[in-house]
Amino acid sequence: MKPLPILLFFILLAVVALVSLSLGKFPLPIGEVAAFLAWKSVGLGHVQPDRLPLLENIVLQIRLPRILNACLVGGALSVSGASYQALFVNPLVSPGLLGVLAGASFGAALGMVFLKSWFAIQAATFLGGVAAVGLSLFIARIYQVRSTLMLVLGGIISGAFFTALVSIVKTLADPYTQLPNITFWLMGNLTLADRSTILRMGVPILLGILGLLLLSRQLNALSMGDEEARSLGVHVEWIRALVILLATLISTLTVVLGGIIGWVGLIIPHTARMLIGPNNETLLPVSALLGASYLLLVDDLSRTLFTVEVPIGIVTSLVGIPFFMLVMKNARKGWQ
Amino acid sequence: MTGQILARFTKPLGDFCLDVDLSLPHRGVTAIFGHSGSGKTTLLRCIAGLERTEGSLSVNGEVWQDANRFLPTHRRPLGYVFQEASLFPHLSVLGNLNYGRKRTQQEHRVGLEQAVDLLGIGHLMDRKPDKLSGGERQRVAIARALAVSPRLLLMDEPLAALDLARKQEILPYLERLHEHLDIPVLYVSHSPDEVARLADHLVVMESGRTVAQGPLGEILARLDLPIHLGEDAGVVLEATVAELDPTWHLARLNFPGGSLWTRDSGLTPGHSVRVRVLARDVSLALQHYEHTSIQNVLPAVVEAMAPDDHPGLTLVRLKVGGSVLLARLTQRSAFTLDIQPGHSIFAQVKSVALLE
Repeated sequence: MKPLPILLFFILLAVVALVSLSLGKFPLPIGEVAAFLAWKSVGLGHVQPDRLPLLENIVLQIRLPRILNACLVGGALSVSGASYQALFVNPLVSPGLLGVLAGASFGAALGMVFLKSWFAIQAATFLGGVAAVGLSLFIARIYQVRSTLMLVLGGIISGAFFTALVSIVKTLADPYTQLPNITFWLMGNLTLADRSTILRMGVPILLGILGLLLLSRQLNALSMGDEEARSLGVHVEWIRALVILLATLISTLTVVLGGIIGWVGLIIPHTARMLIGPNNETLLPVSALLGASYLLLVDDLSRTLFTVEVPIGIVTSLVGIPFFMLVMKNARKGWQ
Repeated sequence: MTGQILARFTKPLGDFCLDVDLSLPHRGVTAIFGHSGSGKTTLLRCIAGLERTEGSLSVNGEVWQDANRFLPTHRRPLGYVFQEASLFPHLSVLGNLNYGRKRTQQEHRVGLEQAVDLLGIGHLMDRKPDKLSGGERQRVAIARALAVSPRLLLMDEPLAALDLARKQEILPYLERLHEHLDIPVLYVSHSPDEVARLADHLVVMESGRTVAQGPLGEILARLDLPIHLGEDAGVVLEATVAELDPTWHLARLNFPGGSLWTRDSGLTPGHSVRVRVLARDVSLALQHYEHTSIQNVLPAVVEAMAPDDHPGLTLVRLKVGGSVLLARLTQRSAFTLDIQPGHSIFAQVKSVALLE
């Protein structure tokens, strides 16, 4: 593990977060936000007393939860993508590989049509994601082949199945009230989660990320190929199971927080790998920090670009695709 | 049983069926030899636990597999060298060597320095794998397999993916392993030359079955070896350097039953060496001719004869004191000279290949 890049990307995230806190319909000077945060956290710095209620309201009540949300979602999707890419030794892999996003979409859509409470919808989203991954593992298991190819095929089947189920729910939904909600959710949106949801999802997401970071050394071993790893004494099945469990868990939780946000889990691990190399011990934390910064920036764009907020899933794709085309040329570099 | 590797596997695989019952010495290098598709790699993978199949396996009295238990690969104390070395791209050579080592802290029977020294990779320690040549990569992979202090080292044609020059670069290191380590090695190969240089014990496989197993010298001297070595038929002798002739740059090697002159390639008197005498380099004479360019003429007794690959040729097994030589001659010369089992005769050895 190299501490320096991790520190640098942490600083980047802090700067981006600070900028994001000052951006919005009611612009605040960055210096004032920084002074306010310093005063609030360690009691240093000077803030004009008459501005305090305003800052308290805008920075802490309105913008901070949103920023935490973006960080959690961006970080979780990127770490989960990086882990999947390492696990399958394949640069084309993204967190949705095992059908988790399709499953979560189905859960959410079903919840919005048939369930009343917000919490029940969130629970359904989570269960849908887990069910989809469960299905792909089950399909891979039927053939009793412990190969990654079977897992990938299982994921494709499971993803297609749950996408079809989403369409069924959409046709059943009330076209005036429920259908727009579902569509809006599937576009990806960071405005839907309230403070308590963010806190409730934040803890397991952070724990999941931490778990994957702890497994990064073992993930390195798998990048060499199953049999080599086994002959060096690595318990391949256990590590793979744990990584799939944790990566699935956190990517499902991001759907609860922000709907379907594509591309982040593919682009960010790639970019991070190009910048700092394939060692997962550094790659995973850097992916988390870079992913959080990226989604924050994209979220800033989506909330400031137009008077009406653009769903973030659309912006991640629109910004992400040209960006990815730029870096794609060097995509092989980070794997060597 | 201690001191032995006992392996019994049956594995049906479509048309092919692996069916072996081996008892191998738990020391030295055992070569598993056979043509492509004879099941030698499958056998090695079964021993490593990479293939799950019916059977039993015990190594020096420790049961790794039987009817009730199957020790997974990652818990077997073994080192595995694959045909193509795959090293961690993000780690230096030293990092790669340390990787497996950290998992086996309880016993360190091979020092890291020893592994590095034996493979001659000391100067590469800080390099990244993409800056290594093919031969160097394979040497690092072998050192990494050794550094985990295995109780059994499995090598699956470690030289197959390399060109001739790289092979020649690595073979001396493999010979050093053989001399300096007391870890038993199972070495899969289809190269008679590698086998002759490295093995002490030989298992010959064909269509998933073992057709011969035993000490190298004994197996190679068999006339009925069901696997045809063709041009490579010949025996391996263990010899000691007896004297040097600096005037003619020759060295005399003593083997049980006689001595042979060979080119002196910097040998030290008293050292033991291994030489290979190919059947095609041995001719027979009824008398000890003085006027011949051949330096090595040994009195021998014909032990047995067998038809060779080609109908015009015959293979003759000769007893030279305590050792055995093979000679290849035409059926016609055998007929004209009336060569029959029991006859005393002179073996003329045209050339001797020094193996180590």
